[in-house]
Amino acid sequence: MQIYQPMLYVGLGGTGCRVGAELERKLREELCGPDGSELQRRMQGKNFLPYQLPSCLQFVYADLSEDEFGALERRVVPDPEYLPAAERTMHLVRELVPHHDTYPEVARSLRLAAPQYINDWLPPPTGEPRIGPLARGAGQLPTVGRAALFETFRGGTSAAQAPLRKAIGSINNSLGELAMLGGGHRALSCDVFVAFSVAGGTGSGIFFDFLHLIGDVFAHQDYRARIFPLVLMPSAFDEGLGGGRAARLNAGRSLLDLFRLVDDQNAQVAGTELDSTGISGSLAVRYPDREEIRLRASTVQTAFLFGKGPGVQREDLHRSIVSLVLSLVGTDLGTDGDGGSHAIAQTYMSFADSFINSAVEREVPAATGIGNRGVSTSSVASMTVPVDDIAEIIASRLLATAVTELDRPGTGQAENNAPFIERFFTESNVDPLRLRAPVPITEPAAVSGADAISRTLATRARTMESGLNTLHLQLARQVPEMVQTFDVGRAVKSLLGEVDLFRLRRVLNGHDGLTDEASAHGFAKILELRRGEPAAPPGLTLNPPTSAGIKGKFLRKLQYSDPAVRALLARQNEWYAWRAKRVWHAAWNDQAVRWDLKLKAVQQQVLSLVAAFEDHARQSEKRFNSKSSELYQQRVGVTYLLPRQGQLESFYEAVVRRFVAFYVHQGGKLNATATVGDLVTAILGEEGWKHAYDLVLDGRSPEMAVAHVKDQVKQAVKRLFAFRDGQHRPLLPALQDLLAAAAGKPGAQVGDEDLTQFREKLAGLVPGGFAPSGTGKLRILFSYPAPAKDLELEKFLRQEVSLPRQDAVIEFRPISAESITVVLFRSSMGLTEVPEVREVLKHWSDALKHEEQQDFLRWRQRLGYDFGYLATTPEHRERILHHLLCAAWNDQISVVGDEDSPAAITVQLGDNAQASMKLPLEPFGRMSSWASLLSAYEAWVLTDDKQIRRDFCAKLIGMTPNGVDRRPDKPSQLFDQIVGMAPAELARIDAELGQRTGESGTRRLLALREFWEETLPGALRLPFRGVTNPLQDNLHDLREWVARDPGWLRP
Amino acid sequence: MVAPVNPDPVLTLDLRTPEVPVPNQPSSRVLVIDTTDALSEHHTYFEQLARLPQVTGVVLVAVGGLGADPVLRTPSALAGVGVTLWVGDGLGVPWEGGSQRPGAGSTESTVDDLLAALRLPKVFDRVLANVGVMPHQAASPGLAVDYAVVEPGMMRSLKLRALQQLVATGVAARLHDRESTELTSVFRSATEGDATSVRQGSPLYDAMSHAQRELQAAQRSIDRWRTWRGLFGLKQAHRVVLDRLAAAGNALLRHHRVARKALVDVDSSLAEGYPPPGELVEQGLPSPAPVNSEEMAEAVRKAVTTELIGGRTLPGIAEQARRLGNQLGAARSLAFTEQDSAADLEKWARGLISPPPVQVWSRPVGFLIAVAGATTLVSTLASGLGAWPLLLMVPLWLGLVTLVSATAPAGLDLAFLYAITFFASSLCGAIGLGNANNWSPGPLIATGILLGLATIALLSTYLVWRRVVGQWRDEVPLRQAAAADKRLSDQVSRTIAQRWSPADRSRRLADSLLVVAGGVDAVVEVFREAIDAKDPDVGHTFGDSSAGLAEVLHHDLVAVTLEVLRPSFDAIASRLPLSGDSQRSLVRARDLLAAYDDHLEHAGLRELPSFVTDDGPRRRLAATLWQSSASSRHILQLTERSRMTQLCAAEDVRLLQADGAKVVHFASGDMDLPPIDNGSDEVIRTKGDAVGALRLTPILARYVEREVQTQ
Repeated sequence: MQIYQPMLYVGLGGTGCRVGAELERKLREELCGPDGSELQRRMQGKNFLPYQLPSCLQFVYADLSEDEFGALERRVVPDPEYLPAAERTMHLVRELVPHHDTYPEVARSLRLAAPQYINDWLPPPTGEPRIGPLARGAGQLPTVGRAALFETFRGGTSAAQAPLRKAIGSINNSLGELAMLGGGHRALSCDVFVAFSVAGGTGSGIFFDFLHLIGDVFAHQDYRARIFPLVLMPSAFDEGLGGGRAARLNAGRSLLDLFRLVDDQNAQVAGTELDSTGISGSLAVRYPDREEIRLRASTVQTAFLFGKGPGVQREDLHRSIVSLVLSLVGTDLGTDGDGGSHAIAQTYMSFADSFINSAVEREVPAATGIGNRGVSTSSVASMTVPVDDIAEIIASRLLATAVTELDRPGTGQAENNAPFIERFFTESNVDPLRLRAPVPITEPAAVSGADAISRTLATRARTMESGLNTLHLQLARQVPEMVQTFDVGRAVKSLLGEVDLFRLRRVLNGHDGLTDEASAHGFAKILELRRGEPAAPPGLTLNPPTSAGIKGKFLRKLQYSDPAVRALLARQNEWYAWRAKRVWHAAWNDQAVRWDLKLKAVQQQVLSLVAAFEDHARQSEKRFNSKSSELYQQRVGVTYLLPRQGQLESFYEAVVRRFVAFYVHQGGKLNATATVGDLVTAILGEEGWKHAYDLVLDGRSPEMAVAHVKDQVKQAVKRLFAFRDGQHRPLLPALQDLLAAAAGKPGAQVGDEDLTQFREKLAGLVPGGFAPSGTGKLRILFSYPAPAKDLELEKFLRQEVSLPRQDAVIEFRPISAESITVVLFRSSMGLTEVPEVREVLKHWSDALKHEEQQDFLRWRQRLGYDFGYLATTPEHRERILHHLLCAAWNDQISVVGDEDSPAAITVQLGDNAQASMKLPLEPFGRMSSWASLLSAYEAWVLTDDKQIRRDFCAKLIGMTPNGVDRRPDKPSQLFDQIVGMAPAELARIDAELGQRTGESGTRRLLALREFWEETLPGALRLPFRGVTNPLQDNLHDLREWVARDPGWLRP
Repeated sequence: MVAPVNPDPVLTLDLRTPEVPVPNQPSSRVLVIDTTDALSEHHTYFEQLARLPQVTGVVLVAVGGLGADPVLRTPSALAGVGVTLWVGDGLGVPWEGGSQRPGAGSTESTVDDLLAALRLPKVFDRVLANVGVMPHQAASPGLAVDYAVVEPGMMRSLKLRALQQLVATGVAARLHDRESTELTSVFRSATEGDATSVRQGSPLYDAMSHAQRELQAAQRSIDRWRTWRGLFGLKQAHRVVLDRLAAAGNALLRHHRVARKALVDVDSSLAEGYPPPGELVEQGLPSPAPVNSEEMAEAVRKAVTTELIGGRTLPGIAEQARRLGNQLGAARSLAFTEQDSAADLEKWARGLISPPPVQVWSRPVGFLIAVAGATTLVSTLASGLGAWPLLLMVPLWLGLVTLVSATAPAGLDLAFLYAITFFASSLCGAIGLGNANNWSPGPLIATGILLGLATIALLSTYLVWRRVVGQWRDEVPLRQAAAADKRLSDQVSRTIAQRWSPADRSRRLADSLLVVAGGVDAVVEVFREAIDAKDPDVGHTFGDSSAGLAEVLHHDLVAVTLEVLRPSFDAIASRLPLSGDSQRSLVRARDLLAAYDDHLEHAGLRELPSFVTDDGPRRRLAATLWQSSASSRHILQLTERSRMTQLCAAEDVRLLQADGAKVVHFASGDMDLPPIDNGSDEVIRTKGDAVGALRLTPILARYVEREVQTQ
C-alpha cells in the first residue's frame, strides 16, 4: 500500500478508540506485512521496529475511561511485545480524567474556579446527576464529559494539546518516509480524521473542543489541515448498548452544534464586534489561561455521518469507516491522468480534500431555512481477503494438531531421552551428581608374592576408605554449593532450543511408555533416586572385599597381573564406586529441601505450560468450527473472499501440504513426509518454545505463552499465504489477480472456483439499499487494486457491481491495497434532509416538551442549556420570520381563533395551492401566541422529509411581498397587526418579568421578549433576497414607504 | 523466579446482610449480591467500588422482584465496569428459552449454584464479557449444573468408615493392622552403631592390649619351656614361665578392672548422665556418633507415612512407636542388664598368678623308670660287656630323672626317686647279667648298642618332659583367661557399638517415637470424637465410585494425621529438645479436621485441600466419576434452547429477550470433554467439581434502565 498524504487520526471516546484500533490494525496489515517487518525492510536505516507504522501516520486517542486505553493497547498490535512500536505513532490523552471522582465534585470545582468560562453551559447544581467515578466514563452525558475536560484544562490546555503537538511534530519530520511510501511531493498539509460517536458522553462531550484544539495546534504550526469528522450516529448502537433514548437525545444536540460549526466554517462572516474575550457572534471556545480559540475557515467543511443500515453489525460499520479512511489516504491526487490534474493538485491539499470538497455548495442555506448544506453521509462497501482471520484459524489448528502429536512419544523408533537427561544434569550445574565420582586414589605399585599382594590390596582398600572419608568431607562443602547453583530453568531453556516442549516434559518427568530406563524415569525422578541408598552390587558389603582368595601358586610366585588379583582389584573398584555413590547420595539427600523446591518450581512451570497447550489442543476442534462459521457469516457491506464456502477443512489440508513443500523446497530439515508436529517445530525454530517458557518465567500466564506461540505460527502461515514462487497457484489468490482474471486479462494464475466465487461476491458487493441516507447527490469512489489506472478494469467493475441506480458520479481509483472499496458519499445536505438527523432532532424536541426523569436534558449539551429554540440560530429565525411576514404581507396566512393570539395559522402559498402549512401556536400565559410561531415552524419542518414539504419550504423561503420590485401589494391587515403588537407585548412581558422572582418561566419570557424585541425587527429589516431591484430594501422600509402613500397601492 | 500467574480469585460481597461488607483486599473481580430494592440505596457503595482502581469487573447479582413497573434499575456507578444478573424471587422455573412457555415441575439449580459458578474466575470473566455486550449489560441467568460428587450421604458415611478404620483397635483392627517393618527398620538403623572401637592410646585400650600381649607372651613362654630348653633349663626356666603367667594374670586383672569401670560408667552415664561423656572418652571410649536429626525426622516421617498409606491403624502405629521408643529408652536407662560376661576372668587370672605345681609323679616318671629298667636290662643282656654298662646306664638314668623332676614341686622325695631309679636299673642290670649268653659282639657293636640305648633314654625322657609340661599347661587356665579377656573386649566393643556410640541417636529416636505416638494418640482422640459426634445410622448404598472415594477420604485423613504430626517432625528435625506435650497436637488435630470438614462442605471433595499434596487418588476418583456421569456430559451439550432452570418467576419470562441468549459452559479441569459438535463456545475448564451450563438471556430493553442518582 502507498501513502500519499500525512494523516492524523484522532479518536474520541470509546468509538473513536475502537475505530482507530481497527484502522491501525488494518494499516499494519497492509504496510508491515505478515510478520511486521516489511516496512522495516523498506525503511532501511531508519531504525524501525517490527509493526512500526511510518511517522506520517499518527494517532491520538482521548477518552475518559481508563479501561478503553487498556483494550486499545491490546488491539492495535498482534502481541503486547510490539507495543513500543505502536507507541511511536500512538499518543494517548490520558490526563482527561480529573482529580475529582464524580461529576458533582468537578462541577463544584469549576463553578468555584472558573465561573466566567462555564456559566453559559454548565447547568446549576439542582438535580445534578451523580456520575462517578469519572475514570469509568462520562455516564453518557456529554456535559459531564466536557466538564471533565474543562477541569483538566484549568492549568492550560496542554493535557490535550501536548499529545497532538507531539503527533504533529512527528508528521513534520516525516517527509522522507512519506517520499519512500509514494507521497510527499507537495507542500506539507495534513488530513485529519476525527472519529467519535454522538451517542455517548465522552465523544460527543469533547468533540467540539477537540476540533478547535486540533485546529489551534495546526494553526500554531502554521500549516493547513483539513479536518474530517467521522460521526457514528445513534442508530449504530443498539438499545442498551450505548443506544436508545439517551443516545438519540445526545445526538440531537451534538449534531446541531457540529453542523452549526460546519456552517460557520463554510460561510464564515467576519466578526466585527470585538470585546474583551474575543469576537462576539462567532463560534469559538474559551479556556482559562488561553486566548479564544477559533477555527480557521474551511478547516472543517463537512462531517460524515455513519448510520447503521439493516443487518449491519457495529464492527462492520467500524470496518467501513476504516475502509473509507484507507481509500482516501491511499489514493493520490494526481493519478487521474486527465489534463486538469495539475490544477486539482493546486486547488486541493489532498485527494480526500478534492473528493469531498470539490463541486459542492455547502454555504447555501438549506431549503428549510434552518442552517446551510454542510451535512454529508457515507457508506462504504469493501471486499477483502481476511488473511489475518484465516491465518488465525489455520495457525490455531496447526498448533493444536502439533501439540496432540508431540505430546506422546513418536510411534516409530523408540524414543531415547538419555542423552538429554545427561544434558539436563550438565546444564543445570549438577553434572558431578550424575557421575558421582569417587576421589581418585593413587594405585599402589605392582608387587608379587601372595603376602605382599595381600598387603598391597589391604592398603589399597584402606586408601579407598580414606578416600571415602575425604569424599565425605569434600561433599559436605561441594554439594551445598552445587545446590546453590542448581538451575533447572537454565537446563530447560537450553534444551528447549533443541527439543520441543513436550519432549522436554518427558525428559524432565519421564514417560511410562519409554523402554529405556533413564527415559522412563526422567530427570526429576533420577534426582529423587539420587537421594536414596544405591543398590549394592551383588556380593559386596559395607566392608571392602577381602583378599581371602589370594593364595600363592605351587612353585610360582603370585603376580599382580594374575586374573585373581585383577578380579579382586575390579571388585575393589566396584566397591569403591558404590561406596562413593552412597556418600554422594547421602550428601545430596541432606540438601533435599533446598534443591527439591527449585526442581518443583520448574516442574510446575513446565507442567502448567504443557497443560495450557494441551487445553488449547483439546478445545481446538470447537474453536475451529465456531471461528470458521463466524468467518463465513453473512455481512452487510463487508465482503470476505474466503476459501471455498464451508471448505476450510480441505483448505487446512492444502495449507499443510503446501507448507511442507515450502520447507522441503527451502532445503530445511523437513522431508516430504513430515508431520504437522515436525512442521510446527520447524516453524518455531530454536527460539519458539524457549520464548514461550521465558514468558512463563516472566510471570505471564501460560495461556499468554500459548497465544505467543500461536502467533508465531500465524505469522508463518501469513508468510506462506503471501509467498509466490511462480509454480504453484497461491493459496489465497491476490485480489488484483482475481480482478484481472475476471476482467479477462491474461497472465494471472487463478483457479476457476476462486474466480467464480469472486464474480459472485463482486455482484453482491454493494447490497441493495446500501446508499447512504439523505437526498444529496451521490458520489461514488471506487478503489480497485491495480498498479495503475486501467479503463478495462473500470469498465468491468461498472458492469459487474450493482451500484445504486440514481444518477451518481463515479470516480475510479487504482490503489495498491488488497481491497476493493466502494465509498458512497452524499454531501451538500441540510440538517433535515438526512432522516436520522431529523429523527433525532424531533426526538429532542419531543423530549423538551415531555422530559422524563432520567433524561437530564440540560446535561446533554456542550454550549448552553437554554433550549428556547430547537435548531435555529437567531439569523435563521430572522430569515424564516422574514419570509413568513412576507407571506402575511401577501395575505397568504389565515388564522384560527383570535388574531391577537391565534390557536393556529395556515400558510397557503400561491393561488389555489394544494399544499398548505398549518402551524399550531401556543400562548404563554397572557402573552400572545404569535411569539411561538418560529418554534411551531421548527416542529413542522422536522415532521417528515416528503418532497412536497421540501418544495413548500423552498417556496416559502423564496417568498417576497408580491410585486416588491414593481408595484407592491398593500400589506394585509394581519401583517400590520403582528408588527403593531410588538410594543404592547414587550411592555406586558417586562411587567410579567418584573413580578417574577423565581426561575420558572423566566427563560420562556426572555425567549418571547427576544422574539418581539430582536427577531421581529431583525426580520423586518432583513434585505429581500431573490429580487434584483426591490423598491425598498426590506419589509420595514417597504412598510414605511407604503404607509407614506397608501392609496397608490393595489388593494 | 516468578511463579506462574494465577487468576485473581473472585471477591464476593453480599450486601443483603445487615452489615455492608468493606472490600479491604480488593480483587480485580468482584461479585456483588444485592436485592433489587436496595440497589439505589447502595449507590454510594457501588460508586466507591467502581472507584477502586484494581477492580476491572463487577458482576452484580440483583435478587428480587421488579415491583409493579416492572423495570430493573441498574446502578449507573457500575457503568463501564460491571454487569447485572437479575435473579427473581423464588426458586426459578424450568424453561427452554425462545418462545417456549416456562415449564412446570420442580427446579434443580438455585441461586447458590449460580453464585458458586460465578466464583470461578474464568466463568466470571466469560459472564462479564457476554453480558457486557447485551443491552444495558443486564441478563437473566438460567442454569443447569451437575456436580461430580458422590451423594453427600455416601461421602459422610464413607468418611465415617475411613475414620473408624483409622482408629480401629482389637478385632476390628486385625484385618488391617499388620505390623510392617517400616518403623522397626528405623529402630534398627538407629541402634546399629558405627563400627567404632576403643580409642588407641587410652587407658582402656592400653589395658586391653597389654592383657592380650601378656597372655600371648605367657603362652609363648610355656611353649618354649616344653622344648629341650625347658628340660635343660631346670628351675630358672620354670621361674621364667611362672613370671610370665603372673604378669599375664596381673594384666588381665587390670584390664578387667578398667573395662568394668568403663562399662559401669557407660551405664551410669547413659542412665544418669554422670560421669559426663567426656570422662568416658578420656577412659578410651569413642565419642558418641552424631545425630542427623533431619534424616531421622525424615525416616520416621517416611515410616509413619508408609505405614499409614499401607492401611495401618493409628492406635497400632502409636502402640508400636511407643513400644519401640520404650525399648530404646529401657536400653539406656536400666543399669547394666547385660551379665558380666567376664565374671570368671579374675579366677583365671589368679590361676595364672599362682599356677598349679608340675606333676611328675607317678605316671610320667614311673614310665621313665620302667624304660630305665628296660634299657639297663638290654644293656647288660646284649652288649656283651658284662656289668660294665651299668656304670653308664645307672648314672645316666639318675641324671635324666633328676632333670625331669627338677621342676617338680616337693611332695615326693627325690632321694626316694633316685633310690627307685637306682634300684630298678640295678635290678634290671642284674637280671640281664644273669641271663646273658656268652656272646661278645665286639666293642664297636657294644658301644653302638650302648649309644642306642642312651639315645632311647634321652628321647623317652624328652617325651615324658613334653607330656609333663603339656599336662601342666592344661592345668594352667591360660586359655580360659584369654577367652574371658576376649569376651570382655567384645562386651566393651558391643557396648560401644550398640549402646554408647548410638546413645544420642537412640535417645533422640526414642523421644521422637514417643512424641509421634503422642501426636497419633491426639489424632485418634479427635477422630474418635468425630466418630461419636456422627449420626450412627447413615444408611446408603455404595455406588461404583465408592472405592475411589474411600481411597480419597482415607488419603485425606492420613494427610490430616501427617499434617498434625508435621510440627512434631519439624521439632524432631530441629535438634531442639522434644516435649511430650500432646495438647498442641490435640488442638491442631481438631482445627485441621474442622478445616477439612469445612473444605468438604464448601470447596467439595474434589478440590485438593491445602495440606494434601498427592492428587493421584482424586484424579482416579475423577476419572471414575466422570465416566459414570452421563448427565454431566449431557449438560455440556445444552444450548440456548435447552431446558434449564431460569432463575426468575414464570411470569417474568416474558420480560426476557429470548433470541439474544448466550450459553457459558464450564467443566471441571479433570473431566474428559465429550465431543461436542454444536458450534457453541469453548468450555471453560475450572477447578472444582462442577460441570454446568449458564444461559444468559438479555432482558427486553424497556424493562431495564440505568438509574442515575441526582444530587
